[in-house]
Amino acid sequence: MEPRANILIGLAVVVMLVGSAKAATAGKGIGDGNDGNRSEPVHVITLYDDLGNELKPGEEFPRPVSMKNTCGKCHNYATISGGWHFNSCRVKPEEKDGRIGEPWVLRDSGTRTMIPISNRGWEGAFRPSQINLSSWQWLKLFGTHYPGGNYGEIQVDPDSETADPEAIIRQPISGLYEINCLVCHSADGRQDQGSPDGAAMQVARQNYRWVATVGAGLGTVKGTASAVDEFSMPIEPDQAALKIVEKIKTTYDSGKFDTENKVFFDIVRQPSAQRCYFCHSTQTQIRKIEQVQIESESEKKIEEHEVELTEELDWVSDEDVHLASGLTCTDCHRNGDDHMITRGDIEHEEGSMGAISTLSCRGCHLGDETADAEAAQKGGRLGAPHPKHPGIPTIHFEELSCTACHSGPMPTKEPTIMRTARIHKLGLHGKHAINLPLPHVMSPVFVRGQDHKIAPHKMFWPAFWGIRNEEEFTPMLPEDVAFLAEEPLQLTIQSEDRINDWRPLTTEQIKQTLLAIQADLPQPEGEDVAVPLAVYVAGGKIYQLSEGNPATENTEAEFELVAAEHEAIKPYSWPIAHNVRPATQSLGVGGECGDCHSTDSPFFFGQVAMDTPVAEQGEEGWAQQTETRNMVSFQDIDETYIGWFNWSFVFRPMMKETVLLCCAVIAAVLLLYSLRALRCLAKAVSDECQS
Amino acid sequence: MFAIISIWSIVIVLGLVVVHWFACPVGDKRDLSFGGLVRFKVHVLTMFFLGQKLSLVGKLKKLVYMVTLLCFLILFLTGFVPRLICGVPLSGYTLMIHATFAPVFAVCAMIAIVGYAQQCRFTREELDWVVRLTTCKWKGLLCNSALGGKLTFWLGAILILPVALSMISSMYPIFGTHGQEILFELHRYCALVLVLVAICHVYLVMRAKFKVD
Ligand code: HEM
Repeated sequence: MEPRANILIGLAVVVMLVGSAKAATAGKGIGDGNDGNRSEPVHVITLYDDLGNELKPGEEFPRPVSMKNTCGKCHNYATISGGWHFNSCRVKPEEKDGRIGEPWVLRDSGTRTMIPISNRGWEGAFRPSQINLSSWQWLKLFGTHYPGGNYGEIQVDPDSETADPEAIIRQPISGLYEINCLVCHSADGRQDQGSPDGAAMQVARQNYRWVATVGAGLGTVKGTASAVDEFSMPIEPDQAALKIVEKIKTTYDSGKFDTENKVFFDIVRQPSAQRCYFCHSTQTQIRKIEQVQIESESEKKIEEHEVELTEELDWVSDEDVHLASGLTCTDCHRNGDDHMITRGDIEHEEGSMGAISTLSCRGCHLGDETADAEAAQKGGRLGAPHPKHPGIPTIHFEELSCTACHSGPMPTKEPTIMRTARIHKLGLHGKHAINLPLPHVMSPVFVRGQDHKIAPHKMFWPAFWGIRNEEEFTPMLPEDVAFLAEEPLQLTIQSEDRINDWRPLTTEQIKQTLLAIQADLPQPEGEDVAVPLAVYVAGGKIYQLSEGNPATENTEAEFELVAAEHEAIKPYSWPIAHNVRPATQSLGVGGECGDCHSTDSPFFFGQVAMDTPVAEQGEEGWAQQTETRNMVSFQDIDETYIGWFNWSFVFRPMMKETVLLCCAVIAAVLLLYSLRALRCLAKAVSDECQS
Repeated sequence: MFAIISIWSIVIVLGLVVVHWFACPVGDKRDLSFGGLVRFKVHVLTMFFLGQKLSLVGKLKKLVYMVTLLCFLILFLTGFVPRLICGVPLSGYTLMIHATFAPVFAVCAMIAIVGYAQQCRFTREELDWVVRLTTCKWKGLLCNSALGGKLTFWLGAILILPVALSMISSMYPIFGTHGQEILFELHRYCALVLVLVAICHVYLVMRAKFKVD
């Protein structure tokens, strides 16, 4: 090679090194950002374990792969972990909570508990800290449908007074649950989240350290962290972490490693919908209705009874129209290095010349008038058709979100019952598959959302035992309730009784449980301090004991159970946007005002059941105390008014025809007299001419 | 914008009416005493009665005319007051009242137009008025003519069409969002012009009636 060429190459290398150092100083890893080449970078990479060492699969006790150390070599892990998927545990008041979304649901069928949980300050959800749920407990409850990081990476501090004792002992064994980048970015069909050989099973075993290794199919893992006796492990956490790989053994698939111990990961920038689906699927439940003929002396009638809920056949149901037309989730839900994935139309994203702000229904289909770039103003991104909305008065665009007419299952008299992947743990196959019918998530329920527009929501009624401090309600953890009220709740009895999927709960059981909880509550010091009250919340009602305190003066018989509705006890609901139905199935299409403006339209008068386990046993079996509410009661609209308003639509066609007819007659009169005037004028002119 | 234009135009037209009333008194002199004002009010009131001299058809025609005016007043109040006084768009119960009286207004207006069209057709007198205007014979031109009443009648009849059709056509799945916006603007601006025309019409008709009485 010529000396000049050598110099040039040398210079190029220096420039590249300086360039990458610059990128690194700007908070970017060398793999972050975009050099303009649109092809996917091939990832044949060296793997690193959780101690930061290069992974050697042939070792006797190889350690599991660490995504943080492997991917973090080229990508800025800290920046990524600030993204929506990973940041909820550290949401501080000054950070944005984002619009209300699907919560985690702490469920326990024995204590009849369903608590919506989120650390994002969403109305109606409880922060883990409010109910003393440690990050360790949190992972145990929700870790199966989870991309890692967040609560999984909160290192327990043994010296902290608030540390969960279980976590202090078990975390060194289980390890941290780091962000598993492959959950989303792997295009390999072998990426396994839900099967008994997949990631979720490792979570169930508390093998957090091993989740990514098994999920990616890099090898097999034998052993269960939760079953490892802590007394058999060194006391020092670091030592325990070193030793554990001898008890939980990883065997790598040598065929995956090349001669330099590098592995090919089929990584994509834009994950496919299949990857999102593991945590973001929903399943429709179909109500099976039985018709019963009731004959009495005076009348004969047919009543409809719901007999069971069954899953909709997946092969007959359709995809979201966007997916059906070739788009994928990440075409709209995009993100930069910070992984703050755009969430649709509600949060208006400030973006470069409108390129981000138009990543919403409105932006894509109609454009954003406020954007700088002409293309963004015009809309039609990715070929989105421009809707004309013929015959839809513009007030609808101020009052309704796009999803109101276009998204979710078609509204029915009673909202459909849905199950979601995260709440009902869908997608766990084989021997650890579970069938969780509760909570009964109803959809679509049309609710006025945070942006003051009416939108279809998913909704369920929280149920929990808790403590009432004046107007504040704090739920109790099910295990604490079980500890205090095992007997009244009949937790030791294996009962097959179910009422609408719940284990029935009688008012007497509620009373006895409340007495047990109340007796355990600390007495306030000082006379002016309000006495905390034990309560049970279910079906939109609070149940509490009448005045007095069993721990002090009254006897059991003197208490009565009082049930009432309360302002603070609301259903938990969050807006849905999918599946988007084809335009022909939208509400109001073709001028069908009656889809919503009729006297019994599901949109306003759908019956939302206030789902509850509270039931009484009669001669004919259990009877649930379910009440219903009209959907309009969640829309900040006066029910009487909308009743009248919709009723007026009965006369709409007549009104339109009458006015049209009147206009025709007036037009005829005008025509007639103008012709007569023309005749006079013509006559006058010709008379003038003749004279 | 619409609110400002509406308020100003209505104030200006009412102002012109008052100026005209004083500039061209109907009688020989204006009686501004207390008794005179009471008499004036009673006179105005009696104009709304169905006169005994009227035939049955005449009575019916006048009745329909009165109902048309009443409906128009209700449509005016419900259409303009929310926007002009409260600064909010027409909605809720007010919208329901507006939409309920709209077809009644349309029917009555149609009957009134059919009934009074012959009476309000232009005759040689109006032609003479135009001739006087063009030949600069302007003395008393603005005081003594039935032209104004007739002209506002026909203008009103014309304006009812865009006012009514703009809203009715927006209720059919024909016009898209932009079209709907245009129809809405058309409706309210035509309604505004109709209101101005109606003020003039009612004033001129009452003036003519005063003269007859
Ligand atoms: C057949 C006749 C009429 C029909 C069917 C009709 C119907 C309506 C409807 C449905 C609206 C609400 C439009 C919307 O918010 O999208 C409206 C608005 C309005 N109407 Fe009428 N109307 C009629 C006659 C009149 C008349 C005669 C007037 C005036 C005296 C009038 C004045 C108004 C005004 C000013 C608004 C706009 C209110 C606003 O700014 O929010 N309308 N009309």
